[in-house]
Amino acid sequence: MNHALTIIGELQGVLDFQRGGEAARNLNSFYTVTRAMVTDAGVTSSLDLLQGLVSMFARIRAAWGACGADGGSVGAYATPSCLHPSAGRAATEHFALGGQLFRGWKRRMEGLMYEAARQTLLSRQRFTSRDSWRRRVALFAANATSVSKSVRKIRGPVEEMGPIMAESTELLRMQPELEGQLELYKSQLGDLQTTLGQIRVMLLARQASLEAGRAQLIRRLAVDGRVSPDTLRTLICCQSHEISHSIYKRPDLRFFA
Amino acid sequence: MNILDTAFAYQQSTASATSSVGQVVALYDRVLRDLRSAIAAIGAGKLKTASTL
Repeated sequence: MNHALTIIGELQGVLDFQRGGEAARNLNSFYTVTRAMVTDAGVTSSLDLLQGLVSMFARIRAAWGACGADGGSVGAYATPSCLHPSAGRAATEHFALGGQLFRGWKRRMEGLMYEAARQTLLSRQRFTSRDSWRRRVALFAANATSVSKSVRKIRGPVEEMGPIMAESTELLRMQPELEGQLELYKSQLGDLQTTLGQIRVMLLARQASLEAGRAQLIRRLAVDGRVSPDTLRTLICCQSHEISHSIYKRPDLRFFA
Repeated sequence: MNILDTAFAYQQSTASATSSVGQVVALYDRVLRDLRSAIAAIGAGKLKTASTL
């Protein structure tokens, strides 16, 4: 899955939004979503997620295949609208899938965050005397802008609870009356771990988006001539008008094996 | 030049000779291959192999 992430990053980094227009934006959304999904699949080992990814990539690959069959010979960053007009129209429709996926994924993430907040609030109704960290989780779910600060706040209680859970058997033997409290701890720990997993996926998606933005910025700077010749040469090496061939030189990526 | 060097040289020359769309298709094929390998690895219970593919 690491290889797949590398390649998707390369494909996303060489998109040309000026020439590609809507198709390029859709592809960008598609790559952002699929990178998040691959990462998610790596964390959860979800076969359903991976099979969904295979299906999506196979569809987009078929669209590219149709473009190639028409003899389009353009930069690898180019999107179908830059190709033969008849191929461009059909393929742009295919690539609209990227936009649909992005919107679906956004709704899913919003749903996850809403569900996390709802679960937290329901738990609060059941256990009104719980510690203040649970309130912080709910606040985080409602306000995603304070992500990193909230992660640090959540991680603290989780780390504190770890040793307690490790010694729970011994504690129970010595003090059986603590059983109810330990069960409560277990439940809280499970909730927090789920929330942390969701936050992680969201952060990774945001990171992928930032990386893609950075690649675009570097390319635009190079085009505008606002960088030194040395830097420009370096930039051209990593963000040229064609897919950088360096990716083919990696011994761990055996493209034609 | 050992076998691996020869293979890489072949890959590079093939990549250079392929059209741009062909390169994109090759990258998509590789992504698909990686994903299918990951599915197989997870199915076989080899979680570490799946993530390093």
